[in-house]
Amino acid sequence: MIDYLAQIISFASVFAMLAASYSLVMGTAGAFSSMQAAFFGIGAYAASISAISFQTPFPFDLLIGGTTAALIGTLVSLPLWRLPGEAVLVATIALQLVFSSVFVNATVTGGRSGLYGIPRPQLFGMPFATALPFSILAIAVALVVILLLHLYLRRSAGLSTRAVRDDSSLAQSFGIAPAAPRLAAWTLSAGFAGVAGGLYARFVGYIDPGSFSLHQTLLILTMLVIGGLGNVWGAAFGAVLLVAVPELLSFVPSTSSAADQLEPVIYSVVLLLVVMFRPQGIFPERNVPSRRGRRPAPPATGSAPVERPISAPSGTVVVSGITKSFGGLSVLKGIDLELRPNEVTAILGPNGAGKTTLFNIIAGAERPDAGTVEWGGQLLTGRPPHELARMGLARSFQDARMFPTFTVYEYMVVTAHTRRTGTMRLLSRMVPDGLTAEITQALEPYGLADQLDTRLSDLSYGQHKTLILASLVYWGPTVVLFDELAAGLDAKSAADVAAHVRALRSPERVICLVEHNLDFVWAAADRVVLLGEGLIVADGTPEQIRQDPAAFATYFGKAEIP
Amino acid sequence: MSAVLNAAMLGIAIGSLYALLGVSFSVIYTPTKIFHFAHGAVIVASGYAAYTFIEQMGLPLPIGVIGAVVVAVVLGVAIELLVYRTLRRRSASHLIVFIASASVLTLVAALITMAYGLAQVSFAAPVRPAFDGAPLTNAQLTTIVVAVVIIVPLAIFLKRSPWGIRFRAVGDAPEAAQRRGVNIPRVYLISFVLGSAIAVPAAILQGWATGFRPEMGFHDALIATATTLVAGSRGVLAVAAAGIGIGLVQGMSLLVFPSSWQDGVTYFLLFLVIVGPSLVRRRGLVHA
Repeated sequence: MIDYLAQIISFASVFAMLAASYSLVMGTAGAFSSMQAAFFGIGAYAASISAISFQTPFPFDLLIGGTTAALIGTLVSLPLWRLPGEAVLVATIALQLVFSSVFVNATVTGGRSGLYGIPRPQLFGMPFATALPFSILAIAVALVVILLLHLYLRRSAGLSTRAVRDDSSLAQSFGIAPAAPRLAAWTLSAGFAGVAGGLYARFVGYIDPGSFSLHQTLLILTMLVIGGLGNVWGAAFGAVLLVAVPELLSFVPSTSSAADQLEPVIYSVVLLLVVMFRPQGIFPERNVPSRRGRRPAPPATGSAPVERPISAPSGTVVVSGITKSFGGLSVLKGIDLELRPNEVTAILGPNGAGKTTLFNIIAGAERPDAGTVEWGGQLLTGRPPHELARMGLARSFQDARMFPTFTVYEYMVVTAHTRRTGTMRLLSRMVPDGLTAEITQALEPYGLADQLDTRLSDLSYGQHKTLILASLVYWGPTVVLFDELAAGLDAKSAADVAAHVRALRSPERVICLVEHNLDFVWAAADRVVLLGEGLIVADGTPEQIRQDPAAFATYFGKAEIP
Repeated sequence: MSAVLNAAMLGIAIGSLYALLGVSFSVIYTPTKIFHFAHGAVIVASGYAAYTFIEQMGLPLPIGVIGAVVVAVVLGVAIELLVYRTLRRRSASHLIVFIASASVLTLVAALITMAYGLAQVSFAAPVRPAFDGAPLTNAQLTTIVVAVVIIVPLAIFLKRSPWGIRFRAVGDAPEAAQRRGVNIPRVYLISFVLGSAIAVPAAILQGWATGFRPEMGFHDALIATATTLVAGSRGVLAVAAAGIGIGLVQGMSLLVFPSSWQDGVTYFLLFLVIVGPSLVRRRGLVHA
């Protein structure tokens, strides 16, 4: 009986590792990987071959299994991380089946019959041959793996991975390069699945392709979803639950052969019910609580904590000769424009005038067909948006885009990293001492200080925009591009926002707005650039533009100007 | 030479089946954008239904096929109404929708295994060379003919008819379509009826050529989704071309690889076909 229980514990430990590592790539990184069982198998075969053929002693065979799987995980993810989720899904199912085919057909894996005679491990001369000691070892390995995952997600990686998952272009505008967290998630997830494979091989003593099939991936997925997609401990719990409960049920004697098939039926029904009615699982993904950064800042030691991005330029942003066409449609026909510090420039124009395209080109989101954008002598064209953000260029998106699963606090933590180092390094401390006080202080003037732990999805539209402004003031970038900041705001809120924009103006800072709301422009801008059909039609102070009927009539009709 | 020709003919036959699978999926995917992996469940269930009606109950072929179409349509519509509509109301993420869809597929495959067992079942109708010395079997030749007879008129219908336009409009710009008075839930429902019905000939022909196994739903769902993804939004003819292309390469691969590796090679090919565009795009960036 004890042995039986010990066996279940060992099984549960293996699957807890699998589900927890799967949760990193699938839940936290949001990549639709469906080849966790393949990584499991790769680790199991690599570890077993090293244990059988080269007598690799115990923990090192797990390391070999884990490293092999991690390596293949990295390679596999390279062509995948740019693809949309569904393509990743189909590609990884296909790869899962490729690996299944390799396991079945290759000679080194022993073909269909698999590998036999994998000895139970020894550690410090102590044998773990029988079920009970082995189960203790299995728990220990599983705890180490899950704890490592937990610690990894408590570093900055926890937030930057989620930021990239929630909205990768928004994450880029905070200086986060999407490749790093994604690649790390794939590598770690595959690697830990490989470690689980090595442990599994040591546990059962023989391995065959059946244990590493697509169905196994679906089983691990079921564990993960039931436990909680974005929560490593929840995923591990789901695994323990799904290993233990059927074993307990199997004490009920079954005679019919149909009973063998009952298990997948039950699994799939449970999975279906969970995703339909409690998609967050038993333990939902958790937000970083604002109390984590309550520890006071260390007394200042003279050197300022804010390290400025290395190559921060300053001065005027010079746009010269920008052209851009989509298909046969020429949207920008040669734009020359200087955006000067200490000046709020508004770009106005009717729909289709090319405002947003120009804006996207300045922000690095699109490439011009010809022409350049320079800033303080440095060429911006051709650099990815996250690099521009690191140089101190901030942009807001239309419709107040947000990371939907973030809280106000988390949003500000990301901003704080951008403010300090220009980006969010995976392994840096997520919440440095004293940060919460700093964030609270930054939000105080905007009335958001008591909303730290509110989810962004629970904020009002106006509060979103206020938060965007507050975070920009806190960050202090040297170029700020606002894309339709006042859209959808009533007159009163628009006036407030205009005042905030005016307050951002400084001799070091370039501010540019793309806007439809004229009242807002008259209140916020020092200079108005009128764009029409891909060319600059007029350029002057708001007063000049308002009193220039020729320029105005062309684009706004002959109606009375408010 | 004749070995190459035979492999190519075989590839076209396999590809015609893939084309049918892909087209039936893309009819649903175009308006709904649902990653309907459970389409594999519809395929496998209708195949077993046809087997039951024709072989076990001895019904004539046309009645058996109609019965299978009814099963497919009822199952497809039930999945839309019971699963996807609920998830849509809860504005579930793509991942959640996919997991739900995959679990429906697992459930149906398990239920079929309980009812029919894991062993392969097949039609009594013999599979033999289509005519003396022909490189194709009668089943394969029929598959090619059926694929053409279904896909070409369907492509014209989807391109020209108001329904085809509605399908694309709802998929590309649901809000604009709604403002123009298109009843979106009804378009979704009709796409499920149409797509599920088109899956039936694919299921039956596949069963005739190679027999039915409960897990064939996964394979078919994968082929169907892959061809649709590769074709992008270029219409059903592009989906069909992708299916035939994959089939051709798979057929040719038999000349190079031993047949036990055929599955592995096919799936690797699918992988390459899907990640290919991203690799090409990246190279384009480097050169630019």
